[in-house]
Amino acid sequence: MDRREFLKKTAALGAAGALGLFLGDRSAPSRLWAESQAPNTIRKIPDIIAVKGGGQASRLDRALQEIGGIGAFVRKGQTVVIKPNIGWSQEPDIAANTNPELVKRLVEQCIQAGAKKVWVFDHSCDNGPASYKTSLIESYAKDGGATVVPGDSSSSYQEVAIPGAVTLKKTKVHELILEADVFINVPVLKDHSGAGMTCAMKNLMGIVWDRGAFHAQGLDQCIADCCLFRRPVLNIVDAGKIMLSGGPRGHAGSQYNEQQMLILSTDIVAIDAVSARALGKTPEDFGYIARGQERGLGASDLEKLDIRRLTV
Amino acid sequence: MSRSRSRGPRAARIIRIGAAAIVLILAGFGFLAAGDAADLASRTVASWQLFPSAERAIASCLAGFGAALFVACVAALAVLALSALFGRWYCAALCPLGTLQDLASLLRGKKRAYGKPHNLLRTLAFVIVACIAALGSSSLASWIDPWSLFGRFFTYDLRPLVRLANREDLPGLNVVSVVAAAVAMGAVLAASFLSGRWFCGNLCPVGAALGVLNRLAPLRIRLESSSCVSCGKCASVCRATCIDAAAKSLDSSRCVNCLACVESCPTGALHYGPRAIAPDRIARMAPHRRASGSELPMRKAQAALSRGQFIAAVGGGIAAILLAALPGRAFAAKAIGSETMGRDGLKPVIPPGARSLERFLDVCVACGLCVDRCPSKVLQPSLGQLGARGIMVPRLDHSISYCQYDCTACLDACPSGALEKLSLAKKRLTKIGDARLIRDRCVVFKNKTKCGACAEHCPTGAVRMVVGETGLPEPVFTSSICIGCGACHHACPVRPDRAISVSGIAVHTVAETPSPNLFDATPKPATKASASGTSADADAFPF
Repeated sequence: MDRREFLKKTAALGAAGALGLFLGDRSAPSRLWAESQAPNTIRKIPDIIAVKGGGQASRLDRALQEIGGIGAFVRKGQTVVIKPNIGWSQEPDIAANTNPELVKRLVEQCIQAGAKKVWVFDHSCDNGPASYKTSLIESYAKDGGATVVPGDSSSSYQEVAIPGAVTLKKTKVHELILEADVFINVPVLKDHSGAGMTCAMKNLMGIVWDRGAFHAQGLDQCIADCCLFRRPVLNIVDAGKIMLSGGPRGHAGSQYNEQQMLILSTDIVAIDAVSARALGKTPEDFGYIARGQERGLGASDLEKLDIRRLTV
Repeated sequence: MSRSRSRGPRAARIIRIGAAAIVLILAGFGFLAAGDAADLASRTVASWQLFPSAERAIASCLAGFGAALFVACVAALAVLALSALFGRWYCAALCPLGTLQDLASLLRGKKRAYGKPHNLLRTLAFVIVACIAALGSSSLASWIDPWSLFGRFFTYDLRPLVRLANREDLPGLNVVSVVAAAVAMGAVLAASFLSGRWFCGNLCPVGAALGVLNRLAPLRIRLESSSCVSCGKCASVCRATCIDAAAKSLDSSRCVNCLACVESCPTGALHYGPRAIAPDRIARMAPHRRASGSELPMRKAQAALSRGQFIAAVGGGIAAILLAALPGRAFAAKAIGSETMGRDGLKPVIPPGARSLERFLDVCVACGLCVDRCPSKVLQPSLGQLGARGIMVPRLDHSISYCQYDCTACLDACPSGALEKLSLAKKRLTKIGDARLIRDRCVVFKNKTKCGACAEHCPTGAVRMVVGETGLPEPVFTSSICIGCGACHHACPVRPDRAISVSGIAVHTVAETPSPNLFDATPKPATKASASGTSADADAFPF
């Protein structure tokens, strides 16, 4: 099973690399090469790594230790773009955004691994600068050594085609997603009034300019389509304090589950599938998970996932 | 000897120039930069500007009495009291438009010369401004208010340029406000290029009022004709073009006490100080004291004119107050209208703190500072949406953005009192509009796909998603906790007219506090861990 999975993944990544070459994306070849090499040549990593206990930083450190360090994905001299959820002008305690300590620690890890540049951005729903500030992500990421880039100007977004998309065949994507060598997705897991749950897949809505198009054309399909454009090499879910109701913004009456957990995976569909369980639901509750699997983005069958559970 | 005399005026003049420079720099930074420091800078300068301060004082007086009234009146009373004592210094130190004009005038580099006053124009301008304001539109009155002219130029012309340079978006930028603000500023600066402080001496209502005080002030610049040799050095440096060297006379109503003339005067005939000894007493003085000189009586014609001016100004003020009290006011408001119905039957929305459309249009000077400071850019100048009475008065444009729930930037910025200073807690409960949900337009019912963009953005829970007949989360709206921020309106993906949209209300009310149990209905998660786990601590994991 393990070896078969390993071989399958190697083949899949190789194929994706080749596809990227044929599609002629200007930044794709070198990027895909770098990405496909790393995780497979170093060691076999499980589908899902979940760490409980400790603090945000120690959970991340433990999870990264399990994959042999972030160096498995970030090479010396590479540029990295980190995409947290900075959707709302809400304080960290509300848990409407990715925890700032987690973002900071991830930035530090990337820099320690020799990253030339680490960018952090999100296309916030609330006012951009206010969300960056109130979430504390801007100040924490800067402390960690990142360059925090605004996501609220249409001039930073470029129109791209999404090969394989069913509905969202074209959209405008932030230039850093096109530019960076390594793309890391750091969502927060929480309830979502529209999509039901927001986690790794839904978080990628923040790399596009026109979110309204998702809502107008069918949210579930567009979320899955959007993930096809550029898959993050790593998804790291902040499930420290999970907002169970009143999401995504968070309200005075929002309920929480203090899980003190972090989930890490290279598979954006699998990580959403297990996160659904952490939210008290099932993967089947969310249309975009099924559609993501249909598009070959990953596997959502919890029974077949290799999950490593750790505590710190 | 003349050297030692000029040392005092020079020091005073340097302080004057320093103050003017600081005010202009703070104002420029305050309008053009983003962030807390810029907010503070613009607020500090704005709160001492006479036209908005006077609006604030009058509005507070009409509203009631108390500690808030005192605070509201402090700036206007302080400026007026200090002007009554020290003369018209405000225009050369505190007014950023004045300093801008001086810069434009310096550009030309030519020596200045005496210019005749246009007393009728100045008096008429003041009376018209007072009447328009009293009739219920301070924004229309503000077209010759220096602060508003300055503010609109920075907000609608310079700030967009800064944004452009920073690769920021320019949502809602419209040609009309850009051109209107630029043309008005262009005219003022062109006049100053040609003839110094022409605007200040002949058109500015603030200048007219302070000119009257300057005539009455015990301390001001005086020209003692007995020692004047008509050399003309003073007139060549006078930005107010108010010194007629040949006639040995100084028009105190236009003098801004910039002190340039005092420094330039070789004989000491010009000085800043208290009233000289009355001429009839000079005759009775001993000859040695007479020689030290004193102001000669003003020429008859000039004195008569000044009295006429004074009477006109006072009369204008009284007429304005009468007009405000007369039923003509209500008639005027009806005649030129106060709001128009927008697209899709939506009424315009005005910012929290305005209290009512009527009061807002009465008080707002349309300086644009709130528009400039609004981080989400939802505040945009009206071009007819608030009627002819509210041209350039800010309103919320939800097609551009929505009012941020945790923001009070506009309230903090407003210098005129048009926007009351509300605490964040109060602002969050101030209902400025009401949403309207049209289910037939909503994508959930129409396309049978998930959406929820409205509920996602709603800060109070007035729009929530509840699974309904479609089997999908459907929007449910509660008006009593809706504050009209427009988040739902902005987020709704339906075009051309939205499924949920916000219409303004003419008199703001207080919304109900959302129940803390509003989001209790969501089922709690299964707390039991899944059976698939194999490791020792699997029970702690939900999968």
